[in-house]
Amino acid sequence: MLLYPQPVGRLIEELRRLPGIGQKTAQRLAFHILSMPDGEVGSLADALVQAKEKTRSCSVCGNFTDSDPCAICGDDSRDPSMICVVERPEDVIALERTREYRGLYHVLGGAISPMEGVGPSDIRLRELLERLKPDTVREVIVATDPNIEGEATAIYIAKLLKPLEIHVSRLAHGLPVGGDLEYADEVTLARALEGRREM
Amino acid sequence: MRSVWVKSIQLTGFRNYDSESVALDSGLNLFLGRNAQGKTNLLEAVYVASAGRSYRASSDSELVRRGGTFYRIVADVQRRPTPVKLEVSYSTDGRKLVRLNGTERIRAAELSSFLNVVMFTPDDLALVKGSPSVRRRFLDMEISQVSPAYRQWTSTYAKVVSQRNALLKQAKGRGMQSNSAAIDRLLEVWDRQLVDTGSKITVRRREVVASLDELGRDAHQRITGESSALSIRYLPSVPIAPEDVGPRSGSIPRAGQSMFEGSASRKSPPAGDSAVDKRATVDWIADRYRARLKQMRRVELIRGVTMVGPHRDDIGFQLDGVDIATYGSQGQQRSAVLAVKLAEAHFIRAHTGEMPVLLLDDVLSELDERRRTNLLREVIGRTQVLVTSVEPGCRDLMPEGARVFTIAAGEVTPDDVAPQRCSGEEHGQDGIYGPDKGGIGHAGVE
Repeated sequence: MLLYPQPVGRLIEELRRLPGIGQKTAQRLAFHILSMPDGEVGSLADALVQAKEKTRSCSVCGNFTDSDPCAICGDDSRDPSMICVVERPEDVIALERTREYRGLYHVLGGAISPMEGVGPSDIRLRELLERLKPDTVREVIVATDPNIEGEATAIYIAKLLKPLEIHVSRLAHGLPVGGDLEYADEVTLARALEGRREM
Repeated sequence: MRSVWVKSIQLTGFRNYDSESVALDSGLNLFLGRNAQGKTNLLEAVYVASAGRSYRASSDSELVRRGGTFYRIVADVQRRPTPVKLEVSYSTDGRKLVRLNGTERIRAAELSSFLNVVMFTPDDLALVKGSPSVRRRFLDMEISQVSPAYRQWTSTYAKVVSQRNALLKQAKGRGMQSNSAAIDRLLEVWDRQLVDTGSKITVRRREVVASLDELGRDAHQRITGESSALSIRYLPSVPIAPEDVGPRSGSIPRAGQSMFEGSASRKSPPAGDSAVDKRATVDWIADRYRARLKQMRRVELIRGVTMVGPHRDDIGFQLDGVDIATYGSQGQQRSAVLAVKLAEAHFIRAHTGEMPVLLLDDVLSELDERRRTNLLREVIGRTQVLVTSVEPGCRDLMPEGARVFTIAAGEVTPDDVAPQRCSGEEHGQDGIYGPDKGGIGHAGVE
């Protein structure tokens, strides 16, 4: 027996493919959409299609963009001597929020992970090397995730860039700012202790 | 002396318990009952209150009473400066909740900072007779109780091994063995992490086994009343000392001396305890680790698995230099296991300052009278002990003041008050049981 009319069932199935959406949430969203005014539904559908149609990867950094090169790569006020390497477009947004970094980005589109069949040639490393050819870049900041795949990718990049004599740095692992030392979890604290620095 | 003990434990929907509350004595508690009445389950519940998970069930759903939808364990733990209430609950829709004092949510790993236990079961024999993975798990669980960082290292290490194995298999599948430069480049990113965490794990295990060796030898002599020397040797996959080439070679360290100390050989790692020495030891081992990986590279590429590292460590048990797993009698194996477990208890005390609660599940019946007496003498008065037995005669072994319970079909009845057993949440700690314990002898114990 079908629980839902066929079109509703299809909508739920489509929504369920999205990350973080389970059966119950998908059903809730679907029923909400059914109760929305026609115009709003049309606008939502249009937004979905437009977002997909009008964005693509920046040919320089690989970030999502509606213009090529993207707003960051095309911004003359940014420092072209620094490139920050991240795994995903979301990471660019996180770093941009700091308003502290004025260099450029490079989005890899993933991290090295043999278990998922992702090797160095499956992430945008060749493109990174291309960007480094003109000799304008002095520092590459590797901001991959602080897990073993991110670490492996960082090690690989450091090795790859070594012959180019470009300064390669890695984001520090450490304590969250504004918190009390006593509330930091043991693992973070232990890593911060390992990575302590001279004063 | 008994600064940490379980004052009462409440079980709801746990294993064969519907709803039960048991008030415990701070010293010895004996649970008698026929098989399959719930003796082990009760001890398991105390274990779960300390470890956050069972030592024998692979998933929490196994712990839920048949036909039930959840279990809950609440342990009232006496400790200085203030008592705490530890709660572990799980419902079959997959939600697990660990709470402190009824409100504050904590991680399961944090439970052990409030209550430590050491469990003795007949299955412990696998520690001597079983596969190396049993011994590695024992070491990991023990070290994790006193070192949260270690727990993190082992989980990171396991992930690195999985990734590295996946890569080795792919290289094998694509016939890449011949292109060693390409493989080296791909492997290096995992080798670095493997060596980094693996060396830290190796150093920690080496330290811990050295102290277990010392504590275990003493405990073994006290239990057996014999002078034979038990030795517990770390057999690391990364060769870190000249004598560590295999389980059957090597000399027994002199009494009171760990096998790594006192060696004047330049081939040994630094022996000191200072931070600088520890760092140097990790570096020293990392060098050997890398060298060994290099040697094994060809074999690894042929087999498609990681061949070097803590995931292939082992521990060896010897009695006067003879391997116990191979040549020891059943009795010698049991004594060795008891000694290791007691060593674990003393190890935890050395690190936390408190003796753990001991859970002795059906182990008395397997020992001869002398060992039984020695074991009880070893533990009585030092910490809280929960003992189960099918033999009513065990009662006579108990010292004065021990609290005796009978367990039948998931109900726990204190012996003294059998006719009108209390069902309230809180048993009076002194009132009901009182000093009137004259009926229980203490034949077997001095």
